[in-house]
Amino acid sequence: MRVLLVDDEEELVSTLAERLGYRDIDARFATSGEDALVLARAETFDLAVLDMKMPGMGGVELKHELEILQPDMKFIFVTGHGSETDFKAGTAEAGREFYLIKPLRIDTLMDKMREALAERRQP
Amino acid sequence: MSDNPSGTQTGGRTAAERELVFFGRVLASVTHDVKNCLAIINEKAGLAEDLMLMADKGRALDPARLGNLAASIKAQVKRADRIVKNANTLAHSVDAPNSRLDVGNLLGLVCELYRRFADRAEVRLDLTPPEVPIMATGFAFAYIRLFSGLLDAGLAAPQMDKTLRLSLAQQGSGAELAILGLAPEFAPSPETAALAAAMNVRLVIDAAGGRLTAELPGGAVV
Repeated sequence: MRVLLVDDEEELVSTLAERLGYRDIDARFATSGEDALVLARAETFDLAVLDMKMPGMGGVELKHELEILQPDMKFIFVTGHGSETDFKAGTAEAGREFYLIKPLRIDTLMDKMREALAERRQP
Repeated sequence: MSDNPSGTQTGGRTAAERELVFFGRVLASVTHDVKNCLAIINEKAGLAEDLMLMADKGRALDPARLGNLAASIKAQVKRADRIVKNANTLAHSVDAPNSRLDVGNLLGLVCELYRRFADRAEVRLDLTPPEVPIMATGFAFAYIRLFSGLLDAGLAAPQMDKTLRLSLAQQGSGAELAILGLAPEFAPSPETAALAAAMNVRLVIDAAGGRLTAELPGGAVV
């Protein structure tokens, strides 16, 4: 599984990428939407975990850009806010079950990743 | 403080509603930042657990690595503590209508509370604090709302380099707040302009120079 993590908190995504690596998940990270698009132009990912609120390009806009580059990519949204507006936007894009609130439980995140990819494999 | 004490509607909201919106907006930003600190602490602690589990299975454990993780966690605790302290100072700014204030500290507080808003607007806030404490007697929340109103207008209209340079200095018997780096369309809201007038603060906009000067009155400033 190749995963792209995007959050403007570098310590968060770099640590999460390392922890996923110990669980045999090939995770790369970016700290902005623009950097994420650079990575996505160079590499293929199965799934992206996107922070909803980032300076510049937010998670929802980034998802739309990534979908153009890699139509098969699946998405999980992460937020620290939990506002009603974010919840509606995030769940409308990825589904209620793929909208997670920080701090994350890594086992929950991995379960959600597997669920998202299982959905992709269904006809 | 109220720039519309009658409660009449301005821009679709009463003055009281606008103050609640301000508190809600800042509180949402603060809690978002604290959540990020907690999320980082959570991952760092999780990584420490991962390393311990791998050590149990025979992989060498690097003490320096654990030391770095502990230092990162401490740094995030310090960051969260600062964020909560700022929120607490804001919360207590409404306690007394007339108290001794350090105006420079209040400006610094607003800049820190607005850091996330500035990041989202991709604008840099560059604050030069006063060389000596600038004290005043007044309502702390009024100063906070004045500074925040000016920053809102500044973040909406930065120059191309997207840096707002703020400074506060003694000026005669009063003080002068300067904000540089403003685009010609910079315009404080009518509510902010009314608040400045109520506080006897004179706002001077130099559109060509990209500069706002707020002259704080000598009578209130010691």
